[in-house]
Amino acid sequence: MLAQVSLNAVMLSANYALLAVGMSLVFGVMRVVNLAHGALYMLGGFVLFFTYIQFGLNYALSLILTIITLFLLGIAIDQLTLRTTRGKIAVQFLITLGVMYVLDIGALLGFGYTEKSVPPIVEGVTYIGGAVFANSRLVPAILAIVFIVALFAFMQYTKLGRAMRAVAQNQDAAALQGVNINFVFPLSFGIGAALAGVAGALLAPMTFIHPFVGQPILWKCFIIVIIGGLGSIPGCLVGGVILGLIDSFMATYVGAVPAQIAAFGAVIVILLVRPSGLLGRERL
Amino acid sequence: MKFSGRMKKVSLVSAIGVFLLFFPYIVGKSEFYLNVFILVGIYLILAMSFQFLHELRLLNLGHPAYMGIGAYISACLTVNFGLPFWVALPIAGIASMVFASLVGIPTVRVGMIAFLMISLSILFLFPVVMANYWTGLFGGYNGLVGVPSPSISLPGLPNILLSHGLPYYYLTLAIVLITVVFFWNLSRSRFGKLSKAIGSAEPTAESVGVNTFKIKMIAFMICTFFAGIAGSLYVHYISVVTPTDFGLQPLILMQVYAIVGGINSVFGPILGAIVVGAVSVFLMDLEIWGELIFGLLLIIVLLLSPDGLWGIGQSMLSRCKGLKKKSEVWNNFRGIQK
Repeated sequence: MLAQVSLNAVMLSANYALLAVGMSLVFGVMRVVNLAHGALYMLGGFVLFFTYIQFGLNYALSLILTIITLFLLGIAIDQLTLRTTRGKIAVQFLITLGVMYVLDIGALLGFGYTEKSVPPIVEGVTYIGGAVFANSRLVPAILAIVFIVALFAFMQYTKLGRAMRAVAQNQDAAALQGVNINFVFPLSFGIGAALAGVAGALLAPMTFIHPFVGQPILWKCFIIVIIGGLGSIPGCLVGGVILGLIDSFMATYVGAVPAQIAAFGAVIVILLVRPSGLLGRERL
Repeated sequence: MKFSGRMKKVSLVSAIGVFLLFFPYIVGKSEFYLNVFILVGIYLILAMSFQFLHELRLLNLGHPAYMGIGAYISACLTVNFGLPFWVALPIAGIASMVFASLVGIPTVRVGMIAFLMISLSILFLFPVVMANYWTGLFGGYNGLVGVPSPSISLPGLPNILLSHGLPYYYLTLAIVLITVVFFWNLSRSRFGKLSKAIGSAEPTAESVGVNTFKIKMIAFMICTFFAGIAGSLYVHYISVVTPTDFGLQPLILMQVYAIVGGINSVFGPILGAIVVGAVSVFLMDLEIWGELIFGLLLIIVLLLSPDGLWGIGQSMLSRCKGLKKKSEVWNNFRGIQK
């Protein structure tokens, strides 16, 4: 039982980390707390639904289309709403709140109130050691880790990734070095949105798809990013693990409600004691 | 007799006062319009207290939760313990204030963004806690129903029940007016000026010996008191309270009033409430499209004008005054020349 719960926790953590890494990236590079992240996750699920179920494309192609669509949507949102308010953190926070509201209600209007579901992509179970893994959960978790590693590699080893990290460290210094900030910002927001979309597409078979499914997801991302540290990708993994552990162990042994309270309690404690998060480098 | 500036102000205020007093009769005692006014008034109280906290750079996104505390305490006291409304109302405000003082002690010290995120966490935690704990008192997931309307029972007079519509309109009007006058005086007082000083230049204020922690705590407690009052007013009108009533919807509404009207002035929320309230009447038929427009409105106003409608009004006023001054100076100059 303990092993099973632990392994569920690990799989959950991987998924949570993927959810949060987009929000963390956007904050790290742009100093924007993207409250629309949950809504973008939700839209990722919808795009997957439309490409995979309605148009019947194969899963890999649907996933790629989801990534591209959300990436372009992210760039559009940035150019429409964030471009003129660069640097004003509080205003942009409220703007992303508005964007979230608009996307949620827009989805409700466009896609209707009914829940849609996507069947699991893979079937069957895998036995590792003494524990049982459902493949429908195992494969998304593995893919989540793949995407996170790919993102990390992009940030570490490519010129564009280094440019983004430079902007995250110090915008002015990066600009002086010749980094085109007006290109990096929409790119970062687009990548953040694409990551949210991927998470949505990967997790869609496990839950249902509905316009308001982004809201609890937003809270989870919020918790992970704050605990792990805004702007830090390894921090997302740490935060993901912590939340995964809280959700698995507390939910199983104590109850789902205390688990939620514990999670937000951890957020408040971290904000009071170490506002930049466990691994973050930003001063709040 | 010359119409002095003072007389202009007094007559303007009296005109507005008369209008508000007779408003129900102007709209033909229509329940619909009275309902709009009452709800707009309740959210206006929330918006004004939010705006004052904003002056101190305390973006209290958890403000609806304090409204919720006031609402639940008021409902609980009247439904479960049979206390009259007039006792429950101030206790509701005090309860919110007490909770805020507990929350505020560790949190008003932190930076603006950290406070913002802590207050957001409180907003998320509120429905979770209210739905699952002390369900005997608070009714759990379904909340409390049958919250009584206030009644005035003075000895020798018949019992007046302030239920929907007309009587409740006057109750709300009275409380909203008290709130407006309070915040107007507060912003002009020494405390208000100190608050603005802290908001715009906190290290400087601290360096001249201002106890920023104390000021912020007092402001936080005052504003959440009013949030609690708004909550009590809300719940005795709606007669039902549920845990999810105090989440994103009041948050967005409150912010739209404050930001559209002008976040940097005490008149901003008032102007915002009037304009947005009037617009929402037309949007109400559109139901969910109306909600979409609210979100868009928030974004557009934030992008266009940081000072909202009040700021636009002020800049237009000063341009008029400037033009007047210019022509005065020009005429004087020509007079001297001749």
